[in-house]
Amino acid sequence: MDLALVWFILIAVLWTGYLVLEGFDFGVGMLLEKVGKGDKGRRVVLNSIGPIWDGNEVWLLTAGGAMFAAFPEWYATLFSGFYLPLLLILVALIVRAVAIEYRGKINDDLWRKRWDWVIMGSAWVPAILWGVAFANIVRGVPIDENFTYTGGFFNLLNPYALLGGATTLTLFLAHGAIFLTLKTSGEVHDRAAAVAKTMAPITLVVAAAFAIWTQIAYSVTWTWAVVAVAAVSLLLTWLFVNKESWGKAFATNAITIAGAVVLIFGSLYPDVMPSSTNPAYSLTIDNASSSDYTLMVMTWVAVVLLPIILIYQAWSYWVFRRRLSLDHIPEHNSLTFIKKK
Amino acid sequence: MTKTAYEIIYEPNLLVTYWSFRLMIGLAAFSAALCVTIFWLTRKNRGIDQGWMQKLALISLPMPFLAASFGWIFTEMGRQPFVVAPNPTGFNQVTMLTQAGVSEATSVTEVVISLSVFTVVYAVLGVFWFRLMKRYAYEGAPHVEYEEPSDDADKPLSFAY
Repeated sequence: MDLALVWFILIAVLWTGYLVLEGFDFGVGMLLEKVGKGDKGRRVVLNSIGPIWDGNEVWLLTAGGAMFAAFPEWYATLFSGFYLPLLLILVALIVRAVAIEYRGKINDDLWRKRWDWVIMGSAWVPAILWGVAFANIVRGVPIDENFTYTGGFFNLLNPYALLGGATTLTLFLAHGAIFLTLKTSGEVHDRAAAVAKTMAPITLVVAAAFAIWTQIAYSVTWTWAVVAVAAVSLLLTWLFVNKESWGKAFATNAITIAGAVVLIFGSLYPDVMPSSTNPAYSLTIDNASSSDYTLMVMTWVAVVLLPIILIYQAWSYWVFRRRLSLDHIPEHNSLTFIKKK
Repeated sequence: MTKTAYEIIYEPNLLVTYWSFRLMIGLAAFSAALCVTIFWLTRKNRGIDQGWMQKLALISLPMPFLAASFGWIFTEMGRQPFVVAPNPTGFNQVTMLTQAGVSEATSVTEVVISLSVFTVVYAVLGVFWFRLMKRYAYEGAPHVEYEEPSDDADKPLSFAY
């Protein structure tokens, strides 16, 4: 197996890590008001991801960085071609980080309420756009003989891609709600459970539709197995949510998200970004990858560093494993807002 | 590119690179020296009551941002006219001029949009940052009662968003 293929698989693994972990961060952000209800409840919801949300974002940096280093042509075509959608995602990630940090810095209801809107909005935007972006990559976009994207912005808004956006959105909403049932207790837990019960069947329908469309229109025979696994895990999630076996429901929902990534990368292989203009212009694992020397250096770096990252991330999850309830939230100790001194 | 590596002027804008490098190092060294000084002044539970130190601490607030910004100005202007400054006598004299690295898929409009968005986002965040810093500088850090560390799972968090 050559190194370019190893990195194609590794990039799929990094995206899986990112979407499984940040998926529930986005879900939690989107459900801030729905599950939180009132300032203390919102703080329970926010603090459930408090120690881990920025660590989860590291997976995006590594996934993007690995694409840049291992497949520079893929990175170049994708990031220049999908310029505006990726800009939207980036701006959402920037303001989201600031909103989470700034929310408690001034003890004022209006101040907090405004940042809460930012936290919610900046979770909805990437939760939808990641699905839109990946669906477009699978569907194929106009790419000319110089590997340059020629499609423009509105080409990216097609029914299949929008279904992809709905898929990540529903998966992440369910993921966030199930995560909250595991990380909270009391009334916040009960509201999260209610949302999870609503979301499970919706997610099942939307994600199954996306998986079948992907399989029939763009994929190869072996990925039927992935579709089958995803179907089973979607059904099991629904079952476990209704039985309130939250740990199992979280695991099966994570398997569904991983299945979506495997289906996407399995459909792409051996392309990394198919051209809808002419199949001959498609970017492939072969023609988009770096030199063997670069890939070898990267492989050694990954072999050494990836276990370290996995260990410290697992450790931080272990340290902050306790459930939160309204009683765990301290009083605000920041400054109050005074208009004039 | 029609020009070969040998015909290219390798000299960047020296005024900018000379001073941005020194400002980057100087501001970082100033901040580091200040940290060491404060470490000394706060020995054995002492507080900082020297007025000059408090003023210096205030002035130092933007220093890391400025040092980082000058560092970026140094790299981005120092590498011109190349995407990555080449080694003139290096392997194969491989060079890539900045103008050869311009993305064809991204239109001028899109770049204008992104730069405007970033400018607005950072300007707004900068205003928030300044207002928060000003409030905290005027009124001091919040008073927090010292509590014995405890493993009681029912106690409120000592730090929460």
